[in-house]
Amino acid sequence: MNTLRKINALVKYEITNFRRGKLIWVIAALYIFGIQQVISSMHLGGRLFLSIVQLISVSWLPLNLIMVPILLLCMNIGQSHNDIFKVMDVSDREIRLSKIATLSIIQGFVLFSNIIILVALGVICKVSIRYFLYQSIGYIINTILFLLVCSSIGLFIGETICKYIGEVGGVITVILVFLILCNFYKTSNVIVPLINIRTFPGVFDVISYDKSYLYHNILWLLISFILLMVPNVCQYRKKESRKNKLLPMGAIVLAGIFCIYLGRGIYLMRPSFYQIGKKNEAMENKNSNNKYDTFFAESNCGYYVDKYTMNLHLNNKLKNDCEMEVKVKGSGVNSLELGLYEKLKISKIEVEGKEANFKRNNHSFIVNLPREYKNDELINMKVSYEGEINTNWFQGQKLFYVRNNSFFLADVFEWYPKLNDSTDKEYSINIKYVGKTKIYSNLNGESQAEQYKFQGKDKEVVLISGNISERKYKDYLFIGNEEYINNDNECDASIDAARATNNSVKKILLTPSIPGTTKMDKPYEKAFLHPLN
Amino acid sequence: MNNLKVSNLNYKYGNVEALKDISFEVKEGVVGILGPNGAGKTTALKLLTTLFSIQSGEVFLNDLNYKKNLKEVRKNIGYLPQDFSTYENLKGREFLEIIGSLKLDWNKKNIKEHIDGIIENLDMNEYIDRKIKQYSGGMKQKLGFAQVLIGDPSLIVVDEPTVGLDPEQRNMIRELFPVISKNRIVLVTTHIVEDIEYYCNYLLVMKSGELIYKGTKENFINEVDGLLWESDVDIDTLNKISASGTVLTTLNSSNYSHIKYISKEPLTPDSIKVKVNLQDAYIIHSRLKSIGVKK
Repeated sequence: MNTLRKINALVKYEITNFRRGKLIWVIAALYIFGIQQVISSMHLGGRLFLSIVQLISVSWLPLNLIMVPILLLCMNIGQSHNDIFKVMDVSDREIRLSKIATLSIIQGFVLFSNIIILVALGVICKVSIRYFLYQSIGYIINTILFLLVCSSIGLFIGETICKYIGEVGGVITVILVFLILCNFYKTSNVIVPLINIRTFPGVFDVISYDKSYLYHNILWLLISFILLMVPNVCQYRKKESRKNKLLPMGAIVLAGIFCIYLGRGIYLMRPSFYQIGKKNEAMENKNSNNKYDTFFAESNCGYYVDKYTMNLHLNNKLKNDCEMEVKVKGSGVNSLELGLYEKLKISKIEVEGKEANFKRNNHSFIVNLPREYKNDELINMKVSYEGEINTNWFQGQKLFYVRNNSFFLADVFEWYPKLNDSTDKEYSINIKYVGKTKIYSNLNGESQAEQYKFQGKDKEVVLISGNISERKYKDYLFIGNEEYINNDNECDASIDAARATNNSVKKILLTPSIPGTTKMDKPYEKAFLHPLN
Repeated sequence: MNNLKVSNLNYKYGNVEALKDISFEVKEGVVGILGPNGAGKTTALKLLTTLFSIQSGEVFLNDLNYKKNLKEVRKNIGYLPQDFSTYENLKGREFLEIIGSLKLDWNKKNIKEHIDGIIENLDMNEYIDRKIKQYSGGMKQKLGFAQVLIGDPSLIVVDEPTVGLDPEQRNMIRELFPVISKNRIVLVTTHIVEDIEYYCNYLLVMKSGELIYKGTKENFINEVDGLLWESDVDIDTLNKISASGTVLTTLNSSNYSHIKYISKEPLTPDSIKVKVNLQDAYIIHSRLKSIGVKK
């Protein structure tokens, strides 16, 4: 009871000062400016288009703008020290708790403002509760993590750096911390920036709820814990308190070791750069040995794939047993070269039921056939492979990926053995997928529990899943983010775009962005992909 | 009657002895603690305000043991540090109410009445509802005194209360001591001897961690009375007396110097005995040991 009374008094002391200070106005002004910038960025096709994913994708901006004043505020509270409180029997623990409580109240207002803006947009966009909750989890986690980390860093600077180096040293440290943690000028999300969000995203999968995101957040929580504990331990420097030091010191060391483990994990999980290209670009670069270029078979290679039968397992990895019927259209085919993303490890290749030798070559593989195949002969081949797919392009723009709650496989990306030609192929794909989200494709499909089956003919196959849903509008089936497919203007714009390509399809997929819209020579026949930036 | 008893107090910073076997007992009134920088005043003060824990020795405040009854002792202490500061965006009354809430386990109404009484007593009504940033140095120091009085402590410890104040503000602070020392022990550290002359009844003089004097200020002067002389001397005589380290002050003119020096006997034929004031007494006390003159 006494402790609570003292903490209340100290919180009142700090809050009253903050309320009448200049920092509150600086924080408020920068936050409002940030929100105004966020709203200004919500333009689509030249008109204002309010959307939750757009808000989330730029939500780092107002938080980054207030980072320095928030750190300074925390630093000021951290260095706040008055001997008269100690003489009044206010313990160090009560003083620290009051500082943390003060910061929690102030940060609570920022979090509350962020949530209010999100809810307001949710109402305006008329999205479903399920969609709203899914999108908002990352936004709220990011905000809480940001505020928590800033508080602990600010307090640490105030309690230690300002104490030993002085206030100027503290301010310089704040600026350095800002430069390291901010999202400005950073395109990839590894350990920094603090807000794990794609700075140059499309509207799809803005915050990736994956293992890397989890590790990132736990890492920063542990760093905050360490920063809060270190000044605490420093207070037990006197001989008589050494015993009290052991437990927190042990906790700090453990947390530090765990941080190293998480940091290493995050680094290893970083996306791989994938240089997606068009056929003509790839052919030009073929002699320059540019290993990142997409694989395209030469037009006169002498064979093509007529039929695919796949048994696909999707979780955080892609595993596939892909049976193919390859038709020979020339004479004297001794080997086949097909594209397959280099990170997908081939475990076995069978030709006519017998294991065949193969050689890996960047994003393709070459199989030596047991005999020479003549014109119109059919080669039955089975390729078993598995691996992780997590690719990005310039500026950290996410491309193709597979996770247990979302994935995107499309266009010329070699997620299955392919020639990237423009012939029609017959697909029969069985998918086992552990995620709760529905899978959509250009092919016709049906689902049962965690099993999906897609069948049909097309030039390529697209598979997409995530926090998306479908809507029937003007005889078209729209699949994509709710606020976009629920907006008639947006749907009309997509219909116009589909008609402009002379595409008579009635299925429109609002997908993640692919550089240059598509790298395929000819579009899909059964769906129109409309990437949203 | 309130009583502070200190017995054999020692304190070390690592291997450095900051306080050596300090013992004294004081009762109600203003007690001045005098001493040069590094004498151990601040260390003693931090121990008496419980900011440092006692390493060896005993301290009792009205039978409350500093080691055993720390919480009770703290309820009976008011402390005004030299660098007293607070958030200047607060109003004086708000600050006092916060201190009241921290120090007293009373309801809001009682705290408010108690604080109103202190404000009235120290004549702060005129500016107490202004923001502290609008206060002058003297007003801020007065606010410090007001917070010290919250909870009606038995012991008030004040560190260098007049440092950095102009003469008028210094006077304003000096006048507070009779008010705050009523039925209390007030320990004041200062290096301004004039302050001691103005409001202290009892003196503790420290040097190099030791207590070199405890007693009344009259006795402090009387102990060294008759040891101070003045004389006009030529340069050779001045050098001779200076070498023994006994010269207190020197006024130079073209042919001779007018000096004050410490000695049991006159060192020049025309030396005249000088009446010792507190300032002189402080210097004589602090030099006696080093120059080998016995009282």
